[in-house]
Order: sequence, then structure tokens, then C-alpha cells
Amino acid sequence: MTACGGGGDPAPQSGGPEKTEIRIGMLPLPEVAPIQLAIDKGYFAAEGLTVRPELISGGAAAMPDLVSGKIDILHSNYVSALLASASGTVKIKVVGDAYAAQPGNFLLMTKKGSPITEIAHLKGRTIGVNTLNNISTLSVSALLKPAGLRPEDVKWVERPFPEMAGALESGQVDVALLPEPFHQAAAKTLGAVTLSDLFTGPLADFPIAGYLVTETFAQQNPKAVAAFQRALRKAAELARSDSAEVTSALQKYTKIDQATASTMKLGGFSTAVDPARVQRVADLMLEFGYLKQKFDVNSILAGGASG
Amino acid sequence: MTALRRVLARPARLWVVPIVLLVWELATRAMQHPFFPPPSVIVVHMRDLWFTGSPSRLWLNDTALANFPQSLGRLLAGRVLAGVGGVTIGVAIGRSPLLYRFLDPIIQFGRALPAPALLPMFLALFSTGTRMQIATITFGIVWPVLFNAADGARSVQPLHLDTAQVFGLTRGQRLLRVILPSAAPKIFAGLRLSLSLALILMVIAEFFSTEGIGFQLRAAQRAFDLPGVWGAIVLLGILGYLLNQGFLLLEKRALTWHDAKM
Repeated sequence: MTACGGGGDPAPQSGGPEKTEIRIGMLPLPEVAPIQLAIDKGYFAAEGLTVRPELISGGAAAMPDLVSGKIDILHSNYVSALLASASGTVKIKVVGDAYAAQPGNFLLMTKKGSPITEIAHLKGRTIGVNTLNNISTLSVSALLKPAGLRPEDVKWVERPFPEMAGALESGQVDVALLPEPFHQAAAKTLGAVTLSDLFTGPLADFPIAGYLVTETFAQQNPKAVAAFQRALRKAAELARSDSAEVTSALQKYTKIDQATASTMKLGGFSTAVDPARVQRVADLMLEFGYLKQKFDVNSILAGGASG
Repeated sequence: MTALRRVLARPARLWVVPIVLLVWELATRAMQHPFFPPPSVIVVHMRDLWFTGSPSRLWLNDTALANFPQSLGRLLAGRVLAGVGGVTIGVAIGRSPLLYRFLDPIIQFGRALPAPALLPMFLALFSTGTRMQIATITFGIVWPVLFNAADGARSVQPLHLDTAQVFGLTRGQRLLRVILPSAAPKIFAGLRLSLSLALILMVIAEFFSTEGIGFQLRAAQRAFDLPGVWGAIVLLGILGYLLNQGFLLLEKRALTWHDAKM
């Protein structure tokens, strides 16, 4: 946030970005660490961009902000992004990939001493997710399937991630979906028990989230988008190679303490969008009725995002 | 009788509705904004969502029957609790200066607390479900009832009370025959105010729930099903209208003597 404080931008030279100040809406999760890194290391500044992060509670909830132009780039899970696009609500372009799931990043947890010890016990139970109809509900649905359960067999309830452990402890939810670092905290302070790792087996290496812009924004600001992509890629490469950098970047936009940060399993930062991987999300959405017909993700991938 | 006729005459005033609908339709078609689908799209979508059932069930399908009765039940339960509690406490402090002096600061404090801000606490106390929702609705709407009841009870004409005393009416009789009827117009004004508030709080509480109209609204938002979002909004509007009409009918009947006096 401090990288390019000076208001006096140099006169726009030819080839510079069309828009120099970019507001990005992001969840306070480890997966957006490259954004903070790119700000701190001056990667955005080197491209002539001033990037201002704004914390959001979920990709779907912040989509109207993207439409109205309050934010230029949105960090959103792919399920919400594809739903918004397929329903015709927003014409979006994916300009970058944020994160692909690594083992231990997202856990389904129960309260200490809960009678729920396997997925099959979830019938009729309440599952806490941060947003309905998003990647959480889709991936849990995929997890329920081998146990013979359908998404309608459980109840879904929305809670922001920071409130999730409390909801689990007080019995508002029987099972909570907790990403890092919230699951470490829940295990440490409340003795919460892991029921399942969310992205394993058929969901291993599943793409979680990407960075979106509206189609209009992509058309009007191709140089700004390309500049953003170059800086993000550089930062993602740094994040992948140097976890100490990530740990210190995390302190700036989350409340993760050093001790917790060092126990986290990071590493799924992506440098490019893999169309085949994003297609996996769309196909799974089709399987569980999130989409009515097959969706070709190439239609929403921006040039340069996948290269 | 006049009251009933007056209420029945209300639908005749609905001539504005088609005009509003027409303007709405034309405006949204001209706008072509995905967040504002035209009403014709919304209505068709509402039918698919909730009204594909058999005529014997009022065309309500399983989704509707799994959500509407719960929502309405909580709304009514919250209203009854707030109504009974608000009127009882309100009349008590309206008639007792001592009680008023003791309770007023607490009531002023409680009234200033926004019920939605207390949701996390209600959630922690009652968990997700009916009790939490009824608690939220009751807490949020009890204040206008309470204040109006207190105001109504305070403004009973001393002459009426004196007369009642002369005729040897007991405390209970005085309450039922003099205080309550004379406070009734204000009590009903408070109850009417609380009606729309109750509907709002029902929706907010159900955002944090697993079923109900509010939950359906939130799920539609998250699925970017905007005609579904509007469907739920229209449904809530219709529900609010019908509840208000029903309440007016009740009010007119309860206050007939008052009308006749005018």
C-alpha cells in the first residue's frame, strides 16, 4: 500500500497503462500474498501501476462492486466467477490465477468430541461455508458423493471465515469449512478435529481462485491489464520460491501471527491460468447442477493470462 | 360493517399497480442491466421457483412449502411475543411513574441497539434456527409497541379513571374497560409500525439460516440468479402488503367503538 505513494504520476508516455490506479478487492487469505508482495517489492510501481487493495468477504458478495466499478480487479473463487459469467450477470475476463489447492489448505472440521467422524455422518447436518453456491459448497458436494450423499442431504449456512470457529464451537454449525490460517487456530484454541481435507483425491490441485476484471475494463485497459499480469507473475514466482517473503507479506493484510504463518502449507501460488484446470471447475459445476449446460472457459480467459 | 367494506374497497385502489408494472417493464427493458430484469421475467421465474405445485396446495411446490410456512411462522411468533410483551410492559410503565423512572434508562438503551448488530450474540445464544430468528424479530420490534403502549396508557383521561373509581370498578376491570380501550389506538399504531420492521428482521435473520425466504434470497444472490433475487423481493413486498391488509382488518374491528365515536 506504500509502494507508490507519490500522487504525481509521470506524464503518460506512450505504451504506459491506460489507468494507473487499480483498486483490487481481495479476501484476507494467504492466497493473495503475491498482490502484497508486488506492492511491497515495487513490481506494480515498475509497471506504472498503483494498486490499492480492499478487503472483501467473498467473491460473490463483491461482484456488484466490480460491476459498478468501485473495484477494478476482483479476487474471486472460480465457481462464483463462472456462475456470474454463465448467468449473463457480468461479462468477466480472468486476468490471472491466484491459487491452486495444496493438501492442508482447506479442511472440513468438527467440534471436539463430535459424533461426526466420517463424511457419511453428514446427512442432515449443517455445514458452515463462507459463501453459498461457491467453491466451498461445490467441493464439499464432490466430497459427499462417494459417501452416497447429495448436496440436498445437508444444510448449508453462511458464516465469514473469521467467525467460523466460533460458530462451530457454539453449535451453530456441525461442520465448518476452514481455510488456513483459521483451521490452525481452531485446532489450537478449541481442539477442533479434522474430518477431511477438502481438496484431495479427484479434487487434488484444484484451482481455487483467480483475478477478474469486467470485459469492458479489459477492452478499455489492455495495457494496464498486461502490466498487472507481468507484475503479478513476478510476485507469484517470488512467493513460490521464498516462503519467508510470503510469511512477512501476510502480516500486512491479515492478522496471522508469525508462529501460525510458519506452520502454514503454502505453495499453490500460480503464475499463469491453466485453461484445462479451470475447465475442471466448470465441468464439476455442470455435474452438480450449478451450470445448466457445458461452459467453455476459454471464452472468459483474457489474453496473456494463460501464456 | 363499514370497516369491512372499507377494507374490501381497498383492492379497487390497485389500479396504479398495472401502470407501475408497465413503467417498470419498459424501464428495465430499456436499461438492459443484468441486475434489473424486467417484471415479466421475474414473474415467470417466480412461478418456476415456487408455484408449480398442484391447485389443491394453492399451487405451492415443495420448495415453497419448505420455506414459506417457516418464515411466516417465525414472523408471527415474533410479533405475538413482541405484542404481548410490549403492551404489558408499556401499559405498566405508562400507568406507574415509579416504574417508568426505573425502567426508562434501560429501555432507552435497549431501543438504541440495532437488532442486526446483535445477531452474532443471538446466534451464540440460540444457535442457528427458529429460536434465534424469533429472538431477533422480537427484540427488534418490541420497542415501537412498548413506547406507543406506554404513551397510550399515560394519556388516559383522568376523568374516565375517576368515573370508573366512583362506579367501584376493580383494578382489573379498570384496566380492561378503561385503560386498554383508551390506549388501543396508540397500541395499534405501534403494532402497525412493527409489522414492516418484523419483515425486514425476518429476512436479515434468515440470511444466517438454512431455510426460509431470506435464505432463498441469499442463495439466489450467490448463484447470480437475479430474477430469483427479485422474485424473493417481490414475494416479500406482496407478503408485507397482505399482512398489513390483514392487520388493518383486525384493527378496524378492534377499534369500531372508536370510529363510531368520531
